[in-house]
Amino acid sequence: MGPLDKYILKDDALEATEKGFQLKFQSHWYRALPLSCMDFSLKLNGEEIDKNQIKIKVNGNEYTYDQLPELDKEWLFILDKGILEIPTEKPLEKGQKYDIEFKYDLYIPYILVGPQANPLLAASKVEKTLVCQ
Amino acid sequence: MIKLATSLFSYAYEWNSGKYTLEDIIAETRKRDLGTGLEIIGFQSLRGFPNVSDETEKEVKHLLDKYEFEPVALDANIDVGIKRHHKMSIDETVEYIKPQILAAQKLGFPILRVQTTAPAEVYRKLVPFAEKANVIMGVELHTPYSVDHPSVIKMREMFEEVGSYVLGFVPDMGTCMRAIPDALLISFKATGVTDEMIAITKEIWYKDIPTPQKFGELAERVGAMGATPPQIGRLNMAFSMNGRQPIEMWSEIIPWTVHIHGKFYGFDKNGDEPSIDYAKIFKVFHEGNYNGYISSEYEGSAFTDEFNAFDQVEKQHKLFKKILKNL
Repeated sequence: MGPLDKYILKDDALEATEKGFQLKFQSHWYRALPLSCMDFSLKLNGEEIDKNQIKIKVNGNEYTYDQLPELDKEWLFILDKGILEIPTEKPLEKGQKYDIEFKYDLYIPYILVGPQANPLLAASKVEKTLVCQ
Repeated sequence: MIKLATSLFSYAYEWNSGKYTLEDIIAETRKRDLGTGLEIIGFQSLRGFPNVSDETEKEVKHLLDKYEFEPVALDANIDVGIKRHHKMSIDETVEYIKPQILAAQKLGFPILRVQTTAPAEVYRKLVPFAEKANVIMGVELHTPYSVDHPSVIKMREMFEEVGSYVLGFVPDMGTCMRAIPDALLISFKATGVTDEMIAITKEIWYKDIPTPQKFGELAERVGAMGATPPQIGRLNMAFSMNGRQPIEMWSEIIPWTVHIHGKFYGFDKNGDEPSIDYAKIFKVFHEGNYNGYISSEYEGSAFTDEFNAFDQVEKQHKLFKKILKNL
């Protein structure tokens, strides 16, 4: 939640694929973090996407949502984009507008807070109407 | 002698835009004459960090040479919570830091900034490794880690006992502030926080009670006024970012100080930093015979996009040069 949020989803973040769509995202911290420090949730036109359907692509590698907490060696560089790939019954239409709500949580691994000394949660939420590419 | 440097942390907002190359930001820092030293955060500026390829080594050294910057400090991160549900053990933390020491060695930085997320025992174990690499581990003292914090006292005791040149401190000036920056307080209003809640936050900040207690009192008092958890979370930043250690207390650790972080938030119309008393800070370190750099660290990217970070760092260097002239 801060000025760096504006880079999370660029105007061309939403793309149609053969089987659904994909969303390109950038981190909102100032430095690279691995996927183990990240969590996501996504709504398309107000409907929550089932997390089990989400594939996460980073550095050419592909993961399921459940794998995230263990991926402490898969770094997303701060200027690179990760991709969420989601299958839909009907592929999205290029040129159409879609409402996206993307919650992107970061667990900051070097700032420990609270009595249990847990990683600080840096939560961000982006709501944007995007034209599908 | 106190020398001036810039930390590339300052340009987070510009850097994340993707519109600048590493050369662009270093060139602009030179063009504006923002010091003779440069500080780089490994995980911010270097893809693949802590692995440093020969190509990256060549690029960084070329840029430092071309734009005439002395490499001052490379910033490591001590990510003990990287697995989220399981914290690193002492030995795992030691192993996590080693490649970052080697990165500093390879890139030619004499100091690796490290963090208090690792206890004294970790740095004690790393002494032989760091000595072999000839890299100083500078433990950053970022609020709430003031010189009298129990963990810092343990660190100081270990430093005295081991007595190695590779152990030192990097005090961050956000630890000894005189006020919560107005710009930070104003940014809270974007979440719907009221002037009354801000007044209460200020009042609690000035109390001489431990930080955890401040969080508790704030939650209770603004919560009763209808503040939501995200609003309270935002107001908590006032306590988590802004420390109140007396400036004079730094003199206790000046012999161990290897570098300084010149944190800043903004300036008044006279060019002074209303929330951090730099004239007094320079006086204390000068009188304690500190010999080293102070790096500009602009915190703007955490709360405002109103200013250009290069302009802000330039203003701080103008202030620092004025203070140095009158020392």
